[in-house]
Amino acid sequence: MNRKTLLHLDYPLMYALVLMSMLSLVILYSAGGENLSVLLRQGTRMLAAFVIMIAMAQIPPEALARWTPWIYGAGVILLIVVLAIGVIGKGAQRWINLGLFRFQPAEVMKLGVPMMAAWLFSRKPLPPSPMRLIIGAIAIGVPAALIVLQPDLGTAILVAAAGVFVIFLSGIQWRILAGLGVVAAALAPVAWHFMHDYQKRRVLTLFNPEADPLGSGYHIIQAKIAIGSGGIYGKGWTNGSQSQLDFIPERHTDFIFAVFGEEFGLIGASILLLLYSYIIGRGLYIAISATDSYSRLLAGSLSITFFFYVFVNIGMVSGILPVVGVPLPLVSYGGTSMVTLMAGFGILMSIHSRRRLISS
Amino acid sequence: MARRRTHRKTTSSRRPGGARRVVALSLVLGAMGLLGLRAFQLQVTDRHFLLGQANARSLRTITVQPMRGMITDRNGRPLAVSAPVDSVAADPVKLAASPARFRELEKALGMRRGEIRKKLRHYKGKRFMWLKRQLVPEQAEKVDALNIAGVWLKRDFKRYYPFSYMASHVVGFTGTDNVGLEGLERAFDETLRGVPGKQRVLKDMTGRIIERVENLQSGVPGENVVSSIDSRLQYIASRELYTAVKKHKARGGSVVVLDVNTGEILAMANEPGYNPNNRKGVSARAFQNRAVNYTYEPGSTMKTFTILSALSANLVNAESRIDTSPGYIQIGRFTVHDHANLGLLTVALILKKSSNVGAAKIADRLSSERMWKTLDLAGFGHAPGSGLPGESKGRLPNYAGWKRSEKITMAYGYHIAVTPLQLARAYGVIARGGRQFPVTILKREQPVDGEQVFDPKKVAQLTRMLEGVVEQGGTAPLAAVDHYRVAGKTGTAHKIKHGVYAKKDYVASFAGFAPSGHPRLVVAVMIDEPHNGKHFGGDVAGPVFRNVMAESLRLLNVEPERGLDSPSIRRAEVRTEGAQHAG
Repeated sequence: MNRKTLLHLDYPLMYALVLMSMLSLVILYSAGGENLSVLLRQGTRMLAAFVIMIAMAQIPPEALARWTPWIYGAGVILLIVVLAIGVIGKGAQRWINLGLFRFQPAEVMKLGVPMMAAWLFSRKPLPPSPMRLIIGAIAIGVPAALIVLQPDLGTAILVAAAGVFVIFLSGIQWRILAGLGVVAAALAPVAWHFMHDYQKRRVLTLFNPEADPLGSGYHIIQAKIAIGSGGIYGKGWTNGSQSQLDFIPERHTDFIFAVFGEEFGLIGASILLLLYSYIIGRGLYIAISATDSYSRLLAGSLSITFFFYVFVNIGMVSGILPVVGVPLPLVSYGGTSMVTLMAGFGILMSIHSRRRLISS
Repeated sequence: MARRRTHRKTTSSRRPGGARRVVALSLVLGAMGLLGLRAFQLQVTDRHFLLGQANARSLRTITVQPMRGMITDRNGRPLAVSAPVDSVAADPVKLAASPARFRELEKALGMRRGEIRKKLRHYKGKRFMWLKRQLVPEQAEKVDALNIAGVWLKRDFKRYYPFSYMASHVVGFTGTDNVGLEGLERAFDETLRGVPGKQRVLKDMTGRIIERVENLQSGVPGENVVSSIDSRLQYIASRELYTAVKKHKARGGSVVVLDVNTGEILAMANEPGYNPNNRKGVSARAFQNRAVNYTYEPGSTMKTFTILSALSANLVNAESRIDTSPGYIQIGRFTVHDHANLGLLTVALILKKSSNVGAAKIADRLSSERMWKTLDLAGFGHAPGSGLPGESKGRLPNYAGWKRSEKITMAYGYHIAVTPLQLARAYGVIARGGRQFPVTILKREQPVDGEQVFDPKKVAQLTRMLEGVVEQGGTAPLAAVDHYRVAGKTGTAHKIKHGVYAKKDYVASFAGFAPSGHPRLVVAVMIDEPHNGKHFGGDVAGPVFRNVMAESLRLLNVEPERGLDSPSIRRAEVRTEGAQHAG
């Protein structure tokens, strides 16, 4: 009550996001073939995402915490509905068409799962009891499984990861964490067994992309060449031969970092990485300075999830992780994931701008 | 480890996960640092290798086809020129990826619906095919504007032949890859072709050239070839030959015009001909340059050389009398016929009236060696070496194997085979007073020297006798030219069909030169199988000779010989009298 702010916002984070959006438009102009309509579309989406972020920032965390079970429950039901429609339509189904816009329940769960996990764990003193951990694991596992059935393994992993980060941050004992690690390692061969051939190939390609330069190794090789040929200073905006001559696949979406690296060089790539680090750092700072468990767990999870996206995408494009369909957050062309991310940043801002209010 | 855990448990109960922030922060920063290191590794350590890889993907060295040289006539008028055109190439693998655009592309290329699909099936798995060769620039631009992946333009050259039908056999033509296939195009292909250049270009993923980076090696355009042809004379020769072949419903024919002083081929026309600009549906027979590769038994045009041989051997002179009665002579198993009983003839009259019996009787007194020598020195049995491709050397067997009957039939032009160019050159030797000369299809300008192979006095006697052929009472008054004296000889030979001499199939010819006092041009005319009533050399080939010779001499500003009556008046008289002819 002591601060009568009109808008609950975190300006350091806001400026960094605006700067990142500008960078995105600059590189999209080049990667999109200097097409202004691409810029216009992406710019419109950005505006919408910023509006949603600001709206989210106005919702107090305790209200969010109150609604969490309902949001989560609705998300699970929608996932089931989507699966049912998919069965009827005899194909993969991820969307619900609401007339005005299409809506992807899995995307909601990227926020819904960490919210639910944070809510579950924050109701009792931390660290959580084993019973609560099991409930939390189920709360994370059910939507992830539903998404796997769509089938969309990539999103399922991201959704599950957001929940797992909450568990990690909840302060569970190292012993349990280590035990989970061992179980995960033991399950890896089983998972390998159930993976599709193309997924196995992507993993194998990582270790030796030159084994199949025209097939599965193609993306990685072309992207590595693009980044490396940029050198320290880059080839200049709109001058990347790998990018502009169509050698890089998906260059305005998943592989946009290759365009960035080729045209702006090591200097540009470093600036981009620093900006990402700043945004992630600011998120973690917000988590640390949060005054209640729910806010802290949720803010921490959202920040680490954002980092996870950045790391997986740039790691994939620069050839240290397997190829998975994760866009470069805030930079790649496309709207859905950007809206979810910005909504998450809205939550972070809400948490930060109200911390004193709650503590008092 | 255990101590720390218990410590955390007790002290951080108010701030659960307090130690986690250190772990989380260091994990995140470590991972971001890892990405930075990876960028450093790619962009600094491996930079040169990866830059090389990038260039290897987009930089290509291409050959640039040079412009093919021109073929011109002796006065620089183009007979064959190249013009730049665009050909449309495609990468079948990439093109197959955009089937939605096939129809647009087919429309722009003027193809039928489904044609691209058919082509793609044919080139399945290949990485290159031509969609359409040699489009006009406007159409090519339309295709380029479609901007379809895997389709690009390649600069090419199309060959145009301004003289079209008229000089086709001499000039020849090139194939679609600009390789000379016939005529001068083939003979001088290397000269005309030039040296391709090399350029480094930037190509995109689809193979389209984005930018020309540098010139590695400049191409050298092909050199021009200046032929000996005079396009004006060529026009006259082809026109006259075409008219005659149509008029006499002949199977074909040839006209050769030679410059007596230089040995240059000023005109060379053949029927049937073709338009080298559009060779669709032209039969292979039309491509034949009969003037150099069609061998035939020449008939009476050979008597000239029989008489020359006898004159050189001092067996006869112009006034020597030979009895040709009763119009035939039995030699061994077969009989030589004249068309009528010509009675007692001088040697000059044997040529003028073209008596087979007279020529046979003279040849019978000549040794085979002597006669062979004369024919050999006149160039029979040798390829003329004009520079045109596909020259035949005709057929002149060595005298050692000659039978008496063969020698005698050779006296009036059977058992020997010649080409029109050989015949023209042999008459050129007489026109030059008994000196040999090399013939050429390239412009030479300077007069050529040649070995004196026949006694000039004997040749002069022969020339006077040949003048009689076009005079009143000769076999070819129709070959006489106003204001110039002409020396020449007719030939009418039966063709061999299925191994026997055909009764109604002839080769009619006339070979001669003018002005006979100071010869300038040799013209040889051959009409193959005239089938419209007339078949004698004097009637069928004679007028072609006259028209070509008369117009050519006038065009070349050859001074008329004075004191001559007009042969056209004499021809009028001949027509009313009804001329006598012999083969």
